[in-house]
Amino acid sequence: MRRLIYKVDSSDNVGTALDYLRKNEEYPIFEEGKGIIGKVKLKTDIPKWYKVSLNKIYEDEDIIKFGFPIGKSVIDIDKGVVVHFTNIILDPDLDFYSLITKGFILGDALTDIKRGEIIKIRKNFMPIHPLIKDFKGRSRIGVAAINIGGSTSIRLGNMVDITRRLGWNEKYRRMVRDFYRFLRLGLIDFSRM
Amino acid sequence: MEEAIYAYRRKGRKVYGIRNHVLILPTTACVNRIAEIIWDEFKDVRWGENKENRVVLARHSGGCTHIGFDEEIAFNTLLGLASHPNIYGVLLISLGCGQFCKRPLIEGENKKLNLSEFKLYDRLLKRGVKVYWINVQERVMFKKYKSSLEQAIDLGKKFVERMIEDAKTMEREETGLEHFVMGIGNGASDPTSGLFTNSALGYVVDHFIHKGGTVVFSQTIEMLGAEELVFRKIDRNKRKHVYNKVKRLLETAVVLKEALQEYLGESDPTPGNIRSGISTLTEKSVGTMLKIGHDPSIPIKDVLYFSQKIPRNGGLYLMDSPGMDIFSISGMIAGGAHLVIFTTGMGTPVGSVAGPVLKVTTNKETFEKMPDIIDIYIPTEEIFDRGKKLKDLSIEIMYPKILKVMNGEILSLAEQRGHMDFDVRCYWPRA
Repeated sequence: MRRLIYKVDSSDNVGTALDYLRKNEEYPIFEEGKGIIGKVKLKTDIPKWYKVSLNKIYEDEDIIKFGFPIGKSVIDIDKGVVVHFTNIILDPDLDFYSLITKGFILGDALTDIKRGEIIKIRKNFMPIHPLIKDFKGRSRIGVAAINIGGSTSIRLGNMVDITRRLGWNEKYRRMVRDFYRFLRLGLIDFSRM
Repeated sequence: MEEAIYAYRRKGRKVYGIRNHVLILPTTACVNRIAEIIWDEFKDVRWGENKENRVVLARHSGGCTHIGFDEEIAFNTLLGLASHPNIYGVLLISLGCGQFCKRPLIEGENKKLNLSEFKLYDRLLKRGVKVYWINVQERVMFKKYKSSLEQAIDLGKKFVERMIEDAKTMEREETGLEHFVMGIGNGASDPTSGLFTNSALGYVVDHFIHKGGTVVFSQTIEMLGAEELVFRKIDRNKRKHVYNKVKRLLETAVVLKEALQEYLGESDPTPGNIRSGISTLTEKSVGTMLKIGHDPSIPIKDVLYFSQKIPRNGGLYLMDSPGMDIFSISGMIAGGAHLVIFTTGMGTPVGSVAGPVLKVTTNKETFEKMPDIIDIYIPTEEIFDRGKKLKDLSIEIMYPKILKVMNGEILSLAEQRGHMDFDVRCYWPRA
C-alpha cells in the first residue's frame, strides 16, 4: 500500500496507517470520497494497519472508527500517537472506576511515579494481581502513562507498554481475554490463574 | 425492473434458478460413497449454453442420530438443498435405517403407504420438485441384479441419466431481479476486509436491494460487539419482534461462547487480530458487519433460523448460523440463496454445491498470489490515485460481474474447480 493515514468516516478521530509510518515525520490523511484532507506529524512509530489519533483525544472520550464508537480512551492521547488496546478500552458505556472497585488492578504504587517512568516490581510497585504476584526480583512490567501518586492503584489504563514486556505467553493471553470478558459481562474468574 | 436476468423457470413453483444442476443427495452420511460411485459416472457431463450445468453431489455428515431440534434443522437443510431453485431434479440415496431414510418395503405392504412415510421424498413431491429415490436396503426387485446395492447403483444411474436428458431441453427465460436471493459472508479476513472489502460489499448489497433483490447474511457470532450497528438496521417501532429476536440470538451467542471459552483457546480479538492492529471486539465486528449495507432506509426484515426458507420479496434478512464458512454458506444455500458473495482478505477457496460462490478482495498481494481463487479484485489504488469513491468503484466492478454469473455467462472459479461444499449444522453431539 502507500504511506497514508486512511480515514473511513468524517466523524472518525482515528485513522488507519496503510503502511509502516515513522515517528517525527508528517503523513497525509486521506478521507474516503474526499481525498487528502490534512497532515499529521507522528509522535510514535505506527505499524502497518494500526490506528493513529487524528486529534487530541482526552481521557474518557470515545474512539470513533467507521463512524462508530469502538472503545473509550483511558488516558489522554496526543495527536499522531498509536491507538491500541494499551490506551483504550472496549465498552463505551462502562465506567472505568467500576473496574477498580471490581478488582481489575495490577497492584499499588509504592512511591510517586512520574509519567514515562518505568514501573518495576518492588521498586515502585507492589503487585496484587494474581498473575504477577509471584514475579521474582525487580521485573519491569510497564511504563507509567500518567503521573501516578503513591499508594494509588496501577491498572490497565494508567500504565502502557505491558504487552512488550510480558510477552505473548499463555498466562498473559488469558489475562487479556479475561479483561475483555470482564468488560463485557462484569465478571472475572481468578480461580484459574 | 431494468435488469433482465435470464434464468430457468421451475414449472409450478414460482421460482427461477440461475443454474440447472442435477443433484445427487445421500439422505444419510453412510451412503456418501454410494452417491460418489453414481456421480463418478457423470462427473464430466456438462450442459447449458456455456456448459454451466452439471451433476452435483452433496456429501455431508448428517442424516442420522440427530437429537432434539437438530433433527428438524437437519431435515430442513436437506429438504432446502433438494428443492433449491438452481436444482433441476434430485436423486435421493437412502440407506433404509437412517432418520430421513425410506423404510424398506416388507412383503405384502402397501407401497403408497410405505412411500408416504419417506418424509423427505413426500415433501419434495408436494413442493413440485422432480425427485427420484433409491434405497440400499431395499430387497432385490429385479432378477438381473445380484445384490441390492448393485440394483441401487444401477437404478440411480438410470434416474440421473433420465434427469439430465430432461434438463438439457430447458432454456433460460427472461425475468427480473425480484426472484433472486444473494447470500453474503466473509472468511479468512485481514485488515483490508474491515477497511475496504466489507464496506464495498455493503454498497453492492444496497444496490442489489434497490433493484428489487433479496439479500441474506448470516454468521451470528460476528455480530457480537457490533450490536449498535445491527440495531441501527432494525426498525424498532415497526418490527419489534425482529429486535427481540436479534437480541435473543446475541444473548445465546454470548452464553455459548462463554461456555466454550475454555476450549476455544483464543478469544476475540485473537492475538493475531491484536497484532494486526485491532484493539477491541467492537472494532473487529463493526468492520465485519459493514457488509450488510450502509443505507439506513433498508432495515432487517426478519430473522430466520438455520436453513429456513428465505422469502423472495426484496430486502435484507438475517439467518442464524455458525461463523464457520462451510456451515454459513450451506445454511444460506439451503434457505434458497441463488449465489453467495464472500469477502476475504487472505483468500479462501470455499464453494457450494448448488450455487456460485464469488470471492472478493481488495488485498492486491492476495489477488496476485491466488488469481484462481479470487473472482473479483477491487483495485483500491483507484481511490487514492484518481479520487474515486469506494461506492462507485465497488458497484462498477462487482455488480455487472454478479449479473453475468447469474446469467450463466461466467462461471465462478469455485464452480470451475468443482467445489461441492455442503454440510449439516449440529448443535448437539451425536451418539
